[in-house]
Amino acid sequence: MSMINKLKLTRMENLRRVVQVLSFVAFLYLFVLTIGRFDASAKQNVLTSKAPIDTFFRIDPLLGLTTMIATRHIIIVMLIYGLPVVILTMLFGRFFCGWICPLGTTLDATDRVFFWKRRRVSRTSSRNTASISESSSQDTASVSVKEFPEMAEARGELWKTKYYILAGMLVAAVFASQLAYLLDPFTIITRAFTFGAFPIITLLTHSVYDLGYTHLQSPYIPSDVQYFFRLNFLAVAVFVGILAANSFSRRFWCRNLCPLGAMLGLLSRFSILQRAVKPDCIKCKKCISECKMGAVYEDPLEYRAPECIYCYSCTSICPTLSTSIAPTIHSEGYHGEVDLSRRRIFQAAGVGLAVALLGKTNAAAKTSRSGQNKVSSEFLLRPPGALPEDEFVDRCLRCSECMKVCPTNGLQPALTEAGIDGLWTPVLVPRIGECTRQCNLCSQVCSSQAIQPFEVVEKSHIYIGRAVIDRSRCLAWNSDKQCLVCNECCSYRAVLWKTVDGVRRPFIDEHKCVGCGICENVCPVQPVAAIRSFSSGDQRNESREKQKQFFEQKG
Amino acid sequence: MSKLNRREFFEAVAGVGAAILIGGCGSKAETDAVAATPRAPKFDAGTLAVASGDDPAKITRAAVEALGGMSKLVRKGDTVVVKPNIAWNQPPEVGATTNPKVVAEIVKMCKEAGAGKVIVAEHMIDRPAEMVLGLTGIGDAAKNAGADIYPAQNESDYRSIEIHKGKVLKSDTCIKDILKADVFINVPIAKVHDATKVTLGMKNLMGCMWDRQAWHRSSSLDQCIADYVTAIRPDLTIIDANRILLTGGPKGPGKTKDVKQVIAGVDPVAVDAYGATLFGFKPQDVGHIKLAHEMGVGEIDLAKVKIKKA
Repeated sequence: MSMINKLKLTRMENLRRVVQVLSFVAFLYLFVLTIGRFDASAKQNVLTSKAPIDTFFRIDPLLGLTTMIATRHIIIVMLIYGLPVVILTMLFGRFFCGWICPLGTTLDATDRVFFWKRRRVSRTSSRNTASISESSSQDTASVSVKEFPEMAEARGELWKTKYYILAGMLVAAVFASQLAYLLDPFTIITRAFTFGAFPIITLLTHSVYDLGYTHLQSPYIPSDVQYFFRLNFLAVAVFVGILAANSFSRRFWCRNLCPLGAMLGLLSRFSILQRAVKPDCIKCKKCISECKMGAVYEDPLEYRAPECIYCYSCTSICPTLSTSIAPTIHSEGYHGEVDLSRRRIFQAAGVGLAVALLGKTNAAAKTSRSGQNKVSSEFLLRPPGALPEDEFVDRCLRCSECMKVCPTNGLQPALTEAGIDGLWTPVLVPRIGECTRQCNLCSQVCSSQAIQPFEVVEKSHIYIGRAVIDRSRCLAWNSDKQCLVCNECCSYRAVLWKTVDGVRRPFIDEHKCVGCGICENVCPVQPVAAIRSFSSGDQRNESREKQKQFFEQKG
Repeated sequence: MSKLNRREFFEAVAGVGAAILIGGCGSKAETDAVAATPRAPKFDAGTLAVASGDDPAKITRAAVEALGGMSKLVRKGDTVVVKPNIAWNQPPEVGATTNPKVVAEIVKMCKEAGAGKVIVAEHMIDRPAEMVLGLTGIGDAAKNAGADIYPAQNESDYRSIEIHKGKVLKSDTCIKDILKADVFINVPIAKVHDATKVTLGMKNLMGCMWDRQAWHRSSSLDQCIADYVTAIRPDLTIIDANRILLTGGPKGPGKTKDVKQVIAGVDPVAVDAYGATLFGFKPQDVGHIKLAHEMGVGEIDLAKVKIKKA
């Protein structure tokens, strides 16, 4: 009987591992599918997959909540995908972290690879005590579990940090600043993949193609554009830092810092799926050494329910099979409340408020005296369809998917163009790549719709900027050369030429120029182009109809 | 879907390893000696074939037949590079890119003549390559006709070349497959060009090199075009003049005219000289054609050229 029981419980742990792997594979699969292909019948770029490739961002309740609070808008896709997660968590607890989260899975996997020594010591010592405890008396067994630093950490207060982080973020959201992008696990892992891994993959595959292995070309790796990203080091460093923090304790990030984990923990307060330990517990404390979340931390009979991620390790390790996780109304040893210090919550709220206010008073937020454009950001070219700047920054999740699908690699993470609030938001850098006319992929992958949907035919009157010719450096204007490359390449016939003093020289038709940046991309003048796309022509604040009227006026 | 067998797989894996080891990751263009072995038999250089008709494919074939047929130029097992104009994200009806039917027919003729491999190569200006190939219709047309398509969009696709006769250009780059090819066929479309008046055969060769911008920065774009032909001289130029672009060139859209002609010839200057007349220009008035003639690349005076109508 006990054998059967044991197998069944162990199976739960294995089932969890299988689900983790499947979820991670799904995440990778969606990431790989986040790329466009040309559709001959539609005559434009379309996504390779009909599946919602931003699923993980839609189901993330933290991103949904903070974005909706910060922008004071209901975002339908995030609501209908996020609500089920909220309801399931209220019913079944914080299973999401242990079973679904790709960052959590990465942490579990890398912990096995990089910190296997500690893990093996921990596991074997518990296994040994298990064999002892079965043969010897209860008292001797309880002493022999080795103390690890992470067990001391779990008895401390560090685990509460994530709740304070969450509190700070919510306060910032109330003051119209969405900060979840900084520490949300999905955005962190996706940014690391997009900015870090994806360009490296394109680099290596290009080397292979160069050697003549072109038959290996895949529709999921662009063969003609080598991807580059600014700040790829920072995105990777955050990710690697989180992995490295595992050297302090397993899942250091999840147990101490993750604001999404904190939110799910709070939601799971009245979960009906609870851990219960039968009175025949011999207090061997193996569950304490096994618990990677520090949820079981002192008394094996008790646990912090919001910290439990339902990994089922404690049930499988239990030598007497006294531990179970099952639907229960109220089990003893269940601590659903999170005992937070009021002082610290106020501190966190203060930090959140300060960050929000600093963002609002950063010079990047200053609107110019005429028009709605920001003063400090002459090169702030947002993707077409982007919302007005303030709302755009609050909505943008920094998930980096728009930058991954951009077929020319022109969309780059912002560094300082958009102020401190706008870190990692997409900016078009024409010298790297232009906004191709027959493409609206960035709007198709934007789960928070910071980039509003638009049709390719509308691109003739979605003004993201305007080209300006620097006549003092232009080859045709300044040195009378045969150069009209900007005019040749313009996709909107917005660069015209007139013969002035016997030489053909370029002019801009401001009603036609949408600021796509192809002229800046191809301009032969080095290193800074003599024709540049400035955000001065940006008409995001106007309605589409108004922009269309502007387009129809003759220049 | 082609399946990889185990051998190919290991080859590929070895390839990846080699690529990383030899630093292929960021290699610059290396110098390749241009093999300038004279090839015979070839078409008569003093002859131009001009075919007219409604069907672009038929007149393409007629023009080549008038010169003597593709088998006179392409031998069994030859590698042929066809270089159409696929620079822009424009559908074929705009007339900014070579008619896909013309390209397909040329590929077919090469295959019929026994060519081992036919490669369609181009340095596209608009991106991404897949989109340009799809919109222009050349991707499917060439593939169905049996060609390999090679968008040379990375610097590593190029090798540097010396231009001994060049006046402005002393060296430049060229798509490596063109340098290795046995036969190189240039297939431009006839368009006006706002910077060089017209873009025909010689101007189309600008899509064979990596740094176009350098030519615009140089003292004379026309001279660069003429210089380049002295080093990279196509074995055959076939101008697609089924529909020519009269305004808004080179990218279009603009006014078009259905001339319904295909012009083929060995002499790059003579072909372009004829092409210029389609727009009502005197060949001498087009800078790069005149300069190329003066450098001895070919004949600009159409009275001295035998024109075969087909």
